[in-house]
Parts: sequence; structure tokens; C-alpha cells
Amino acid sequence: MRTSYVDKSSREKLSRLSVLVVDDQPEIRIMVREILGDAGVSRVLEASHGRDALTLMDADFDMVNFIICDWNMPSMTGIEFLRQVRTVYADMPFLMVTGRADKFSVVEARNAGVSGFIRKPFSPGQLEEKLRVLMRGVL
Amino acid sequence: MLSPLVYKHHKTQEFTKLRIMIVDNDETARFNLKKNILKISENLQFEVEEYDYVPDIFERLQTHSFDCIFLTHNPNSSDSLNILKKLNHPDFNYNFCPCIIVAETDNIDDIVEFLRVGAQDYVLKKTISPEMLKITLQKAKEIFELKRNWRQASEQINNARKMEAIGQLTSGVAHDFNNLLTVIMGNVHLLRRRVSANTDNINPADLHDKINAIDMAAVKGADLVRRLMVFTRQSPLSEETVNINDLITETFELLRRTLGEAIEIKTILSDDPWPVSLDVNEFENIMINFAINARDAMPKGGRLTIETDNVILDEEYTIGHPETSPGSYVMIAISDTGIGMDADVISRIFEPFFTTKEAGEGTGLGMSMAYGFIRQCGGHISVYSELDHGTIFRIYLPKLTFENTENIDDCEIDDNNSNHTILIVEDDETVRDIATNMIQRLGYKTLIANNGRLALEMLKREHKNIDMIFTDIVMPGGMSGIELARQMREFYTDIKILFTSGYSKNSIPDYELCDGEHMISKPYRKDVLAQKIKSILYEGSQ
Repeated sequence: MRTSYVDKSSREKLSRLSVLVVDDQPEIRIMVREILGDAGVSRVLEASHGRDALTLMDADFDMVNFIICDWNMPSMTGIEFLRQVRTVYADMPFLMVTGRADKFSVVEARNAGVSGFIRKPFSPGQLEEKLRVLMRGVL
Repeated sequence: MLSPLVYKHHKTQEFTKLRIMIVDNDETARFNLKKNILKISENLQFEVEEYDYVPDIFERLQTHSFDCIFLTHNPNSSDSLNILKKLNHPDFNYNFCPCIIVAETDNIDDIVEFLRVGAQDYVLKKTISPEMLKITLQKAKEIFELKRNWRQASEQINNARKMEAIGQLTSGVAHDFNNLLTVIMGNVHLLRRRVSANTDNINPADLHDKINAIDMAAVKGADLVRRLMVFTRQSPLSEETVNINDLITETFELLRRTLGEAIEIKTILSDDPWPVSLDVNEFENIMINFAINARDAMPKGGRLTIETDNVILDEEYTIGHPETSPGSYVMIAISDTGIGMDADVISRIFEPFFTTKEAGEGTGLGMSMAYGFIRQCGGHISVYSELDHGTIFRIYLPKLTFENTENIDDCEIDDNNSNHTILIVEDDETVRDIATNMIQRLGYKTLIANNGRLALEMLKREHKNIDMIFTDIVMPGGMSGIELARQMREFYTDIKILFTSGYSKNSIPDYELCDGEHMISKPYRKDVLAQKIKSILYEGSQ
């Protein structure tokens, strides 16, 4: 069993999350999967870009209830993917992973309906904290 | 209609006192001109300084501001033209002001020449009157202000573009490093949790995976730094003397695999290309970068042509390409039949992190690395492209001038040279032959060793006859030039040493030259080597 750094009630809630990780860099997907696994998230899905992610979500409407997505990706950026997601899933928590923090980008993402940001580089603790805050809306 | 004759001071303060400089070697002419200037009305006051054709005017201009210079042109002398050239030279720093030529005759060729070099206007000495000077000053002021505004605007545009490029570079580096740091930081935290929690539950394979992920990210980071260093031309290059055709033939298979079957590769290689000096690995890297760009520009297939030729760039060419200098070059032209680029893309193609590819698909470093690499080799690159027709890159690498026959007569060969013997230590046969030949032609006696150990043996036997060793720094076989020098100094303190390397003086790996140690970077010119050897041999003897 992995060591838990998340309190028991949060852990229970986290176990009900089904998180889709969208990032073009496999090493980051692997690492995020590990962090989520440690935190108690039982189901983690991966996609290397927005189109794959959309196909995956189209296949099963209820498969995903939380998205962690990189901003800067080939063929479809995180913000484009977010806009597509919002046309179907108005309330699904969408955590944008970004190296950008300029006002314009933040406003652009807010307008597109982002639920929260996490800035690269981040620690597992910071990601878990974001999960806890954002999952309140769904669970 | 002309506006009132009021000059704006450089610091925007309006003022009505004009400082005029008159440059004429004829005292009477200066007096007449001054008299006419002082008669100009319009409530203006003038402060007129008179100068002969002397260097004083340059010194004066550098310490004091003037509003206008009247420079007399004597048709029998080129002094005034030279003064004007200096005033308009970018390196001559002074508070720029209009310069009006006062001429004895109205020779049209002279007028054109003066205006071309930078004169604001041209007046005939015999027609000068206060009214005419007033109009001339007025016109000069207007044109001058237009020029100044234009200068300021171009500077602003250049600065803005520079800032944009720096911004792009910074955000590109930040993005890539953030990704790497995310992997490193995340895995370090995970590892810490694993090892500090319950040591019984440690899974070695899991730890191993995380350490590997950190290691890979660090290697990628180092590679990113390396590529940036190539762009900034600070990367130590391991230069070799090569035949460019051989290199292209060797790279052919790699290029064919990079380009795929839809793209045909054609090579048109020069019969006997001049030798060039470059880092073979970096050259292959940039050829692949060109190939990848060509492939992406030809999604439906096409043809990539690689051509080599020996070319001589003359002064006329270098005027149009200020980053080049005249000389002999080996040209490598790489052309594709792809979609081409517009003027905006062409103007930014060598900027680091500039890419036309989708986010994440290109690093934006390929072309800037190529640019940095070629500049570091002493060459240059040009690009020509037409939308829907294709792109051609031309790389010019300087011909290696070990055998600089053009300069052979320029090298002073001292008869005393034949009294000195130089031991040449170099592992590369071609370079060794060239160096030996060059040193012999300077009149010195030579001995040869192809590695450090042989050099030490030779020193043991011949040290009494050897005045200097000329050694490569990086040599295979366990003994570098540095180590050779160290061992040699223990026994033979009076023998001089000159190091040589493909690295620059400040980029030798793991070594810094001390004071009193000498080095010449490869490739070197014969005259530079001659001078260097001489200065070391006679060091301390004068």
C-alpha cells in the first residue's frame, strides 16, 4: 500500500474521481499518474493530445469526472480542448497545467471556463491541494 | 511655404541662437560666409566658430553641439569629402547635425558624391547671400529633422524587435525547463515519500523508474543547454579538416531516412571542393535540421537538392551582405521544392524559438543552431524563398587557408628562422602535414611526433636542438598536449611551448591557460602563426 498524505475523508472522495490527464509529454503523464495514485485516485486515464482526449470522452460519457490538462500541446492547445469540453461538460473540473502566468492567458482561460490553474513546476503536494479544492464541486 | 527658422534643441527646448561651424582653409572666405550668416534676419542670433582643415573640428564636435556645419569644398582636394565621410561614419560619435557643402564650382559629379556621402545641401560660394543662406538653413533643418525622426523610428523598431526576440527566447527556455523541472521535482518528492515512509514497502523497481525519469530530464536539460550554446556560439567545437563532399555523402543515408520515400534527394557536388574546418557532429545535426524543415515544407513530396561549390565573394557581394567579408568560401546550397516562406518568416527564421510549426512539434532551435554554428565556423548563411515554389539556403564556409598562398609573400621570412627547430606534435595526419609544411615554409627546421609519448622520447634524444614544441591539446592515446607540456617542463625548462586546438582559448575543456602560456586556435593563418612563433621564441630576450 502506498503512503497516504491525504486525510481519510478526502481520500475517500478522491477514490471516486476518474481523472483524465492530457499532456503531450509522456514523462509528465506518468508522474501525474503516480501522484494521483498516491493520493488515492483509483482511475487515471491518459491522452497525449486534445483530439485523443475528446475521442476518449465521446466513447463513454461518464468515464471522466475530472480533467488535468497541459496548456501547450501540438495540434490542439489546452485552451482549445477546454472550449470543446465546455460545450458538453459545463461543470466538469478542469485543471490547467501551465508555465504561463501572464494576465492575458489567465483571463483567456477564465473566459473559456477553466476551474483552476497549477503552475509548472509543481510538487505532488501542490497538485493534491488543487485536487481537493476543485473536487468539492463534483463530489 | 517654409516654416519659421527655429531650431529645436536636442532636448526639445526651443531656442533662437544657432551654433554654426564653418570649415574652410581660406580665411577671407570664412570671413565672408560668417558676415552673410550674421546678416540673416528673423530675430536670430548666431554663434559662429571658424575652423581650418584640422583635426580640431572632430574634437570640437565631440565635445560641443552645433546646429549646422558649412564645409567648403575645394575641387583640387578631397579633404572635404573625407571630413564628410568621417562625420557620417557610424563609429564617429557626435551630436549629429546637418552639413552644407560650400563649393567653388557646380560640378554635378561632385554634388552627387557629396549628397551620397551625407551632405544635407550644396551651395555655390559665389551665389551666397543672407537670404539664400536663410533658405538653405531652413531646408537643411527640415530635411535633418526628417532624417532624425527616421533614425529614431528605425532604432525604436529595432529595439522592439530585439525585445520581442528576447521575450521569445526567454519564454521558450522557460517552457522547456519548466517541463523538465516538473518531472525532476515531482519524482524527487515522490522518491522522498517512498523512502521516508515505510522502508519495508520500498519497491526497488519503482525507485529505479523514478531515478531514471529524473536522469532523463537532466540529460534533456543538458541537451537543451548545449543547443542554446551552439546558437550563442559559446559551444566548444571539435573542429576537423574535412572535404565537404565526403561529409555530405556520409550524411546522405541519414538524410534519406529523415526525408522518407516521397522526397527525392539530388546532389550536385563540386569536383574538388576546398577543405573546410568544422565540427562534423554539429554539421550532421544541422543538415538533419535542414532536411526536417524541407520535409515539412513538402508534405506532398518533392525534391531536396544539395549542391557544393567553391566560390569567391568579392567586395561587391560583401557590401550587399554586411555580415560577410570578402574571401574564398565553400558554398553548400540546400534547396527544396516546398511551400516556401513569406518575408516575415524569412526575416525571423534564425531567431531562437521562432517556429511556424504547431506548439510542441518544433523546438524553434534548429535554424538558430545552424546560424550560430555557421557563424562560429567563420561562415555565413543566406536564405531565399518564394511562396509555393521553394526555399534555398546557401551556407558559405571559409576555405581553410593553411596553405595561404595568397599571403605567402606577406609573411616575413627571417633568415634567423633556420637556426630554430620546432617539434610538431599532432595526431591528425592531414593537419600535421599542413602544419609541418607551413612551418617549414617559414624557414624553421621541424621534427614530428604523432602523439605525446613519441614527443617525449624525441625530446629525450634531441632536446638540445629543440627550441619550441608546437602541440595539439586534445590528442587520443592518453596524453594530452597539456600533460606533455607538464612533463616536459620538469626536465627542459628552456624549451618554449605553443599549444593549438580547435577550441577557442577560453573553452578548452577542463583547462585554463595560465599567464605565459600561448595558444593558437585552429584553423590558423600562416601569417598569424609566423607572428606567434616569433613572439614566443624571442620572448624575454629583448
